[in-house]
Amino acid sequence: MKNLIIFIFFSLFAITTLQAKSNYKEIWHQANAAYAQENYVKAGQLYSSLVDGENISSDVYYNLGNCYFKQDELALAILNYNRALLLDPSNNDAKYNLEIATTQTTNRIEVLPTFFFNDWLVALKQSLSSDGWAFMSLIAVLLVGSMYILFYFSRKPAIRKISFSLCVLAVILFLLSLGFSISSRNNIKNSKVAIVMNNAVPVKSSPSDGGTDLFVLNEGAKVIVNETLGDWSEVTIESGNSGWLNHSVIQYIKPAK
Amino acid sequence: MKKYIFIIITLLYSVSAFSQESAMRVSAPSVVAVGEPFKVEFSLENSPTKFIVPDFEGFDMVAGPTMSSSTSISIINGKRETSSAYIYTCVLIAQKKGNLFIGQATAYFGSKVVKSRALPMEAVANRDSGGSTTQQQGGQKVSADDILLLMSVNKTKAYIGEALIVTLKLATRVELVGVEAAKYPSFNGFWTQELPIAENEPWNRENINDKIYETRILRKYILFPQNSGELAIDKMSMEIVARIVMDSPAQRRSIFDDFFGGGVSTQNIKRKVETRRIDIAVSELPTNAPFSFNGAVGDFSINSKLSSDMLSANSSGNIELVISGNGNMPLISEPKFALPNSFELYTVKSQDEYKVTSQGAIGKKIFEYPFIARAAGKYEIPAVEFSYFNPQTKKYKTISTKAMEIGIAVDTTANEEVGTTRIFTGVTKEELKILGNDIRYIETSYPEFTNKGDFYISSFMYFFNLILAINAALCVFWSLKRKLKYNSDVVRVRSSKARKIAVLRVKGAKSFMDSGNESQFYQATLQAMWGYISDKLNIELALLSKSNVSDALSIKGVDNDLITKYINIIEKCEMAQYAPVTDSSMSDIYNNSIEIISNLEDKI
Repeated sequence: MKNLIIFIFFSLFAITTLQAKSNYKEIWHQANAAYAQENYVKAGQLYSSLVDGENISSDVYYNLGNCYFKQDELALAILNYNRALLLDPSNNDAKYNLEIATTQTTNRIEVLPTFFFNDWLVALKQSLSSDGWAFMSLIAVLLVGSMYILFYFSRKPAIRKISFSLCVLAVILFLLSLGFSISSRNNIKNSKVAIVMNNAVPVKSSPSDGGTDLFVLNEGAKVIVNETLGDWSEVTIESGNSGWLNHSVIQYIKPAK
Repeated sequence: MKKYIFIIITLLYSVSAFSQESAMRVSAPSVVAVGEPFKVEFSLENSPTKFIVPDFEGFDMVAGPTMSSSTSISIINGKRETSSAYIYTCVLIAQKKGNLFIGQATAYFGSKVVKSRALPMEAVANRDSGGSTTQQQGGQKVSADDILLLMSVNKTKAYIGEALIVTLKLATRVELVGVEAAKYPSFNGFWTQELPIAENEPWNRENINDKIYETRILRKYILFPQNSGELAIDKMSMEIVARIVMDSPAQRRSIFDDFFGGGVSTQNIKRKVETRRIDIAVSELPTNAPFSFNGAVGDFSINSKLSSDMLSANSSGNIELVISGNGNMPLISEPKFALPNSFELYTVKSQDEYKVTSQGAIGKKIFEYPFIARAAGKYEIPAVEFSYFNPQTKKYKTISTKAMEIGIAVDTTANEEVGTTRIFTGVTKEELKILGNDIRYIETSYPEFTNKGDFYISSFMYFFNLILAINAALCVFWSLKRKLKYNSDVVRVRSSKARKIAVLRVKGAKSFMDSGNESQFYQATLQAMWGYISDKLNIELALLSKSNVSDALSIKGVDNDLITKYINIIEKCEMAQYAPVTDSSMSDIYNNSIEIISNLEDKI
């Protein structure tokens, strides 16, 4: 029995720490040292070398964003902060720095208001990453089991009452965390959010150079790509306006495969 | 000329001189025309014992030297002041045009010698009409250059904040009656202040374009440019009324005028005069301004003083900061003191003690910083930096005061309050001051890497772990359930095993029987019998007695015959332990006990 539980926990932790390349740690420390010496170009190159392979990390994208911000590369900084937040929505430093970077962008886009319950749900969902919620769901399963056992075998009514309600709550927690985990994963997998990389990008009414200019976006603006047609993408900005722009001026915040 | 001589004669009396010695002043017009007589005056405050006029080279002395003296006595509030003047006057005529000098005059006060300074003078070619003698130009019209309005600036290139002096001067060659419709310029882009001019500013003679004009300063302004670039000082215009004498009797003269010999006919003529526009190139201050620079331009020094270097808490003190020097004084704002936290700073008072002169604003500006210290302790009032731009050296300069120590003693008055009431002075809470806005620092602890597109939730490991967790819970549940079931069955198990155990025990007793060990045999048999009933009826061994066993057995429906047999066996065994048994053998007991157990097994 005991062995089984130990095995479960071992396997739980084993999954979260992935085998990283042996020289990753060295590069990481070199990059940190370069940043501390205000050599932002070098630090940026080192951080990008960490994430250009198969491995990605929210913290590396966050640090990379800082390097670009210090080099006044506003669009790249915003792109990398968004990447950090996509991988780990609970990264508060990235949230803060993204806010500062956004205040320096030229476009001030009025965000459409959303239903407050939805806001709460999103905020709750973003308090943990997809993997975090998956881990939480496993804990919830164990909680359901232990609470049910306590309820089933206890003879004292008080304990039975409490354990039963806790058991119900744990079931809800399990379903919620499972849902959040899957939803976060899908958000990342199917992310259509992109950042405008150039200044003064005209957004047109049709996917051609001859289209009427609807509005102009500047670097750092966040767009959602609805569809792509040749070199052109139809995008929607946070205020709800949409139009076509050249695909080369935007970059998806989802790290490229 | 006659008039002067008359005055000189009327004042000509001598006053005994004071022993006091003083310098000699010379006054003469700076510009004269050749052939025009003019007056040179040497004035002394005391009567000299001997006075020697200079050798007037290039001049002809037509009169003098004549000496006049005047004394004025004034009594103001009972205070008597006497001043006297001794003036030697010479009347000269310049011989030729050019730059000439009036040499040094020498005055002897006993053995003491005082010399006047040499005075340069310009003689211009003789002109047709004299400025001071307007009578000569009778009948003439006022020509365009007879009245000039001149505006001059001491420099046309300046830095922002550097003082400029603008002088408005009226120059005329005709007699003036009045001024009308004066329009003074608005100095756009400048901070302006008018300089005070003496009420009876004297008329001077001046050579302008080789003509002698009577000039008078109308106004003087000090300007501090506020913007960079080409700034213009607008035109200024005024209408001047000049009086000219009509020579020809164009108008009919009154017979009375002719009779009294006077009545030269005059005519007032209005003329509009204008200055030229002056452009001033104002250059921006250099960009490398120090942090504490606040627009001061000039040359300054700074000094600070504490009203007292020992104060008690909650009483007020004062820091005095004096900025003295020459520059754009009116535009200097108070430097900021970074007082310790427990100090409350109140509104800063400033006091101007400077004079705006044609050299700039000279003097000092005093700032008073009243404060109240709330907490006792020793504090340092940090040095204050003050930066200014010096237009001469074209460099910024930063000067600072000395840091000052101040001791704040404990507030004794607070403890003197009657009884237990104590006054807690309010503390003003301050909002957290956000000084700057910068991004947060990078994450430095080694991060976790995940594979691109790998999610725990969709991995095999997650499902494996989920199933493991569910299985673990189920395993715990089932094992607990089984154990509970087992626990609830323990009585039945015991009763089901009772016969087996009892038979085993009796068989054990048989081995004692075979070896002929009587007491051991009976004891074992007794244990088997009691143990069997204890297991069977689930009664503790210690609680068993013959009576409660028979009761329990009869409740279970065992017939009395069997109960009696059972009791009999027990009694026999008990007895046999202590006394030798004669009426029954060990084998009988053995056979009976097996029989009873098997009979009881059937019944219960």
